Amino acid sequence: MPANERDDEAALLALFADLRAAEPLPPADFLARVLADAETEADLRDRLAATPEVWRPATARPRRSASLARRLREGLAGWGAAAGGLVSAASVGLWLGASGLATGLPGVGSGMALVPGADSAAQEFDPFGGLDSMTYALLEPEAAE
Amino acid sequence: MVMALDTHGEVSDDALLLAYAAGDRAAARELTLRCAPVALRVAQRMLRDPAEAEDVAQEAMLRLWRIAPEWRPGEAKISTWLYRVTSNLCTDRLRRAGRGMPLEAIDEPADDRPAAVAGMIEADRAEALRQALADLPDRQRQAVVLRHLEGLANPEIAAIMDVGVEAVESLTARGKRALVRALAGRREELGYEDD
Repeated sequence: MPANERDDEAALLALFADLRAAEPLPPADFLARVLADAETEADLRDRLAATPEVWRPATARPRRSASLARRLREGLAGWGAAAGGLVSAASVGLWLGASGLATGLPGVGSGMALVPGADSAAQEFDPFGGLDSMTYALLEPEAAE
Repeated sequence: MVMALDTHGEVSDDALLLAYAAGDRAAARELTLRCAPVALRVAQRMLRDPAEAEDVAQEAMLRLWRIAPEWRPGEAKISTWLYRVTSNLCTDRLRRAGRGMPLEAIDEPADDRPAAVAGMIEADRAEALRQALADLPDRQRQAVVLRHLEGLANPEIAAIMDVGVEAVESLTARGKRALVRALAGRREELGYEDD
């Protein structure tokens, strides 16, 4: 390190020492404010401790882990929901299968044409069957002429 | 309640804080006398504005009172926690203020009587260093204040700043170089040629 840099660093260290030595005492009113804060916080905690738990704000309540009974109950409910889902899926499958059979039965409407296996009913469906001649002309002008 | 003693036979900061959390108001008084001057000193060295420094130190101490019931003794030193909170609050203030210097923080024009000259040079030295510190980047200023003005060891500064010891060494070295550059042209003006 060059001599002038050493001098500069020495001067800086001397400045640090000056500043450390010139440390002022903290003002009394500042210390009084800090102590007053401590008292206020302690009073608040005392009041909170004396307040029945039901009246405390939600954020002040300690979090608790779920009890064993609750976890068991929730676990069983989860399995119940899963089982219910399986039953529902099986029901839909049965319904779809039965629908395919049902389209061949007398008295079954054209709505069943949407069910797979009901091709014959779909072929009979005429989308223009209910249109009047004016609407038909709009759709196929050349044919109307 | 039996309070833990530190290596000097005094009641430890940890024990005092636990006593305060348990309702001992005298413990709060003792902690105030021990910790509030430290918080205020750090804030004054980082902020320059005395009123703002008091605000920050009071806020840091308020956070200490609030954290008292959850304090886990032995996990961290209260002084380390306080240095960290205070210096972070200072950094927040400086960032919000855009490093502007309030008018009331500027000294009155100095008295030019011979008896006042020595004092003026002393004050000028301190003010020059404060000005140069204020111009440092936040992390460098924090490291330099903790190392050279608070006299803390690098491992403790690393814990306060949440960085490694090598990073502290680097920040301190860069900060010192920047201060040397800033003050290099003022050595004669500040009276160091006569030392």
